[in-house]
Amino acid sequence: MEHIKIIREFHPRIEKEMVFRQIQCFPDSPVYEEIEDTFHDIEKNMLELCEPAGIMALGKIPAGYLQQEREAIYVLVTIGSKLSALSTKKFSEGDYVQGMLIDAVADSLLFSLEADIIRELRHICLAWKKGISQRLEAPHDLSMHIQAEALRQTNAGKLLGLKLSSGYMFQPIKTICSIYLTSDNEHQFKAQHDCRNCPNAECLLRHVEPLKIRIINDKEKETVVSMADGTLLEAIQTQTDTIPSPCGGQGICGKCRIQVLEGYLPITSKDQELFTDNELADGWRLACRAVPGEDLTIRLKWRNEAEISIQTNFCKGSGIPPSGISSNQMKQSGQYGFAIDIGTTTLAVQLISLETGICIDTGTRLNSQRIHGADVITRIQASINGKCKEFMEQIRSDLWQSMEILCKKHNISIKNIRRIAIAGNTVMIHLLMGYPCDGLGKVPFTPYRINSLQISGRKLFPETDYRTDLLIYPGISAFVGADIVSGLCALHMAEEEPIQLLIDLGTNGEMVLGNKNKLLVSSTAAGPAFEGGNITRGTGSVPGAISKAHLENRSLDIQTIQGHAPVGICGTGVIELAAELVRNGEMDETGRLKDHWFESGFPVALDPQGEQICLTQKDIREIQLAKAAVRSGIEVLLANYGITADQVDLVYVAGGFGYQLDYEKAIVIGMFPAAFSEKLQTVGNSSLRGAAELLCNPKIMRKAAKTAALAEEINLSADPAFQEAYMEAMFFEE
Amino acid sequence: MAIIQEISEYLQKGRAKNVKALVQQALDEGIDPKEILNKGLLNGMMIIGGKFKRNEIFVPEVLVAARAMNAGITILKPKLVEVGNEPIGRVVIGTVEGDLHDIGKNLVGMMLQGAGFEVIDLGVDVKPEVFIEKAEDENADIICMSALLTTTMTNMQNVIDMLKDQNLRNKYIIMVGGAPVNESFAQEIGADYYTPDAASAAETAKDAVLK
Repeated sequence: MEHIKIIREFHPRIEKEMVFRQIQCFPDSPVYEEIEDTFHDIEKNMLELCEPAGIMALGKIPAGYLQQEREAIYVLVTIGSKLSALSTKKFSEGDYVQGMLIDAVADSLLFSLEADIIRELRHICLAWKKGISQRLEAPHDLSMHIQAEALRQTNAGKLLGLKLSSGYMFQPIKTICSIYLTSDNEHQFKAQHDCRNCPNAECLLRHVEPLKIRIINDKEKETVVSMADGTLLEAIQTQTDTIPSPCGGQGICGKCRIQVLEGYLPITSKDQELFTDNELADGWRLACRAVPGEDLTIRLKWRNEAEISIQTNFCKGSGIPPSGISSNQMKQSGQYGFAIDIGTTTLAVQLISLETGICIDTGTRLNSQRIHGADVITRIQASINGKCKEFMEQIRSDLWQSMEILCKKHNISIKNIRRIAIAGNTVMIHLLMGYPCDGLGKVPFTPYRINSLQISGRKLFPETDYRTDLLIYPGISAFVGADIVSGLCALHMAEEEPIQLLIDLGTNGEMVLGNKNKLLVSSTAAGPAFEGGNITRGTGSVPGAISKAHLENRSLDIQTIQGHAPVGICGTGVIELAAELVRNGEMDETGRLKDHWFESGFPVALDPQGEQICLTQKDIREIQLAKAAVRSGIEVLLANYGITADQVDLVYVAGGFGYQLDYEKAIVIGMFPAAFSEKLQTVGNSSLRGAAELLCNPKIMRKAAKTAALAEEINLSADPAFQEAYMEAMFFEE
Repeated sequence: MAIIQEISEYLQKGRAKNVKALVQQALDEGIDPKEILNKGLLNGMMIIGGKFKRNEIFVPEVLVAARAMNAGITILKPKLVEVGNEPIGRVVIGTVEGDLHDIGKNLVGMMLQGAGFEVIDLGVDVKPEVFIEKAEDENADIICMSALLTTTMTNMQNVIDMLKDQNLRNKYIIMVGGAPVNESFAQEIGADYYTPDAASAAETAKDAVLK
């Protein structure tokens, strides 16, 4: 059998986006519409002038090109000469717009034949029983002379009428020659062009797949971030965690050090200043200066250091696109999505590039529904009493506004939003979808619908593109919702062997305990104390909120958020103050303040108006209720799981704390068992993180469904052990 | 003159129709065709070139402006011939042998035209002898060579060497450009000028012939 095949079946297509990218014409150009009109005028004619033809042949790369002679498949494909002739004509006539457009269209048509070639190549590989190990191109991989071999071995001169100039260029000009090294492994098929290996860095069509950076932290937990541009620090900060960088990424402070375990990361001049030769040899580098050229595995060491004071938002939206990506470039790589977390009080909306996975920006706003009630119970009641439609419109409009603001800010068209992924508690999802809340408001607390949703984005947001998908995580029950499932997916809790505990410290303190084999969930009515609610001088995590306290020899030191003048006490401040009062014997183990504080409360600070901010006896009682709810919830879950606190491998704390909670102090007040001491880890907004992951990889929905199905709910109020544990946990004893 | 200024402004906006009409109107008013060309059309193109160089505008805007310039020149040409207007110089331009990239070369050609040159485009994959033959035939002042590949940029040297062999090197100004080319490479192969973008190429060429 002769190993030459002429390809006749082609499906040439003009990709408008590629054409416009090649001539660097973007929608913000003042002449965009004019160019677009010209494009539409010539489009049809271009297709008619395209005369695709192709040929492939099994042959040899002679010795001298590579280290030794190799068997290869030569492929030649062309669109004929009419288009380039027309382009040249237009240029010579002075119609530069058409000349340029036609040339770009010709390239688009030529590249569109690639799909047909690859399909044919697959068929032929099956017939010839060959695999493809690599694709080679001249002049990058082989010298230009190989084009003469290609012409000779395919007999394309005779069969297709191709010619070669003395400069080894094909006629027609718009011809591609590619050479595929064969292998005996029939299942191997590495035939695609890989832009990353292509030296043509200036190519306007270059599309480099993002690098994968595996990150292992000191708890041996692994996360993967992807990066297309910018520094390693930016990639990590925007996608997973906060790395301290007090100097702002200037390569001075040395706090963002990482260790490369696998892969090569070049040594920068700042690395040389800060690390010894031994350290460099061990792979130590500064993340803020690192620009990797290949996939890496790195280790983070910074978690042990003291200077983390900001909440480690799971996906920290810095508000600034990673530097190195100009907004022009971002517009070129067309597809974006929104990850959304709907909280009872706040909404978080994150704009993410679907191609790179990079979080471009995060917007937050207050949930407008809150004026109808601070907690879910009042929202349920209001909804039942006729506010269902109003709530639905309110939340949709809130979200839409956030999305629009982010799009405008980054010059991204709503049309380029291809996916929206949403997480939120069960009540919020009900209100978003306009479901009746009747079942949620009474025993046995049945949701109207709890499964995942995959619908057109237009159902909720009519102005999105018709292709926009909208995904909503499934929930578990009326009390444990899609936000928890989202967090579980982000933390991979239902996929791993170690037993982990996730505690969402909000008003409705959800908890999940387990591993890939067994997952127990429950929710406990912690009340709003941890968010500063029901505390006399309580406040949210705002500048000036008292967040840290240290009492020694009757002298109290406090710290406020951002060092502003004290305005109130936030959740962490409440816990710290309680812990200090216990430690110094200013209140007894039942939670009674010493006599001289009993009436007026314990003085904490003066506010700018000169008024005393006190922690009152009533406040202490609130804290007791809240922390007892959390602690007893943990105890009951452990008991139901049949393990003790020290058998838990890792504890994640998610939720409302604006400031890093000092876990030792939380243990002092008995909120957590002492056995958790080394295992506690703040994860910030894990629900939003899960939504971002679903956005980038919709297949996670299957994992989410499995996780939701695996989860088994423990109803604390029905558990007699809970009441007992609750009473016990009320006291301030370690 | 207001109308000349208007021609320049419409050209910068890429309004071919307006440019055409205004050029005709200016001719009808008896304005010197050379003035219409230099102070109207070429002036507008020069401003566009400057903005392009400073990244204030991008390729599509330049294309549209150049198209408008050409529309104006088409009207103007017969009159320019009548008054015996000579271009400021003649350029042969091409992409060197073994290289098919022509967009960058086309942009340079376009900007050179905008600067008042007559441009003879030799296309792509141009053999060294063709550069020389055409330059001789067309009585050119400048030879412009473009290369987009590291493997083909050395072919620029072949042209220069061949010119030297034929004792023609000093007859021509030689300009080179393209992604892998830089100043030191240009010096190494004995070219006269390297320019990093199309707009600077036009400016440099203008300065070189007027020197």
